[in-house]
Amino acid sequence: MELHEREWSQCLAPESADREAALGELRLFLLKGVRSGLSGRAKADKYFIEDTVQTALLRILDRLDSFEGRSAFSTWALSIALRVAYSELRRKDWSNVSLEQLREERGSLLDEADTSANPHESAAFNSLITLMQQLVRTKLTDRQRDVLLAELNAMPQDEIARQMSITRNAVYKLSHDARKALRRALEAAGYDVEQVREVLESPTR
Amino acid sequence: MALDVDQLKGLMRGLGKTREHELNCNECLDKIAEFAERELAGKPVPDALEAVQHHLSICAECSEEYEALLTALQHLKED
Repeated sequence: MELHEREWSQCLAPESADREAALGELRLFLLKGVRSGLSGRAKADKYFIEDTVQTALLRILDRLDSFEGRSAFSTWALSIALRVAYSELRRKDWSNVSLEQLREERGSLLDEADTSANPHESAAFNSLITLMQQLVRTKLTDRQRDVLLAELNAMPQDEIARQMSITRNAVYKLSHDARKALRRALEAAGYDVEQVREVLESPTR
Repeated sequence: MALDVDQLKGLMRGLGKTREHELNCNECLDKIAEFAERELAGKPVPDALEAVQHHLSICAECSEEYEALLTALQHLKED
């Protein structure tokens, strides 16, 4: 059985007589696609890929109604399978690091800025660090600070979500709200965010 | 924790790209297949998908998944 793109969602529908065959074909396609998308990832062995595709198939069937046909069905399904795969890989990579551990090892964002740690930096730079630290302390909620601390230490959103028992979307919202609050506060303090960024990126800073 | 230079740079890059309204990761996933197909076909990004491009510039996870999707689609096309 070889399905044309427009037939996939019909054949995968619960009432379809072709459902089992379509599922089998989709499974084979996803195994190949996920393997290609994860090439070079050492932890993505064949067992990992098979488990991923199994989970992805369930997720795809769950979301079948949300497929709007703006892309090929196979591309849409593969995008979901790769989200499943990368989320799981990130979970494995970060399973030994907790937010609590980050707070203990890297310090809380509630700490005062210590500009003596940057003696070779200009007074303007140290003022900016002090201001940012102050804004983080006064303009953000505890949960926004937790997300920011984790992001500054490169913890993936999937893992932040898992540890905070919220969804990845909720993590993104906390991060987005935090960025908006800091940007507004920085501008209210007379700084232009783009200019500050250019100065920081300048090699002659 | 005093912010170090790299963290401050990263934070300012994020603030520089911050918009009042942004797609979240699920909204990005809903549109990423269409976005990838357009990119592979060399088509320009329409206004309706510009928010996807913006989200990818902010979100490291979605960006990583997108790159993997492009790689996979290219391999599948070559087979």
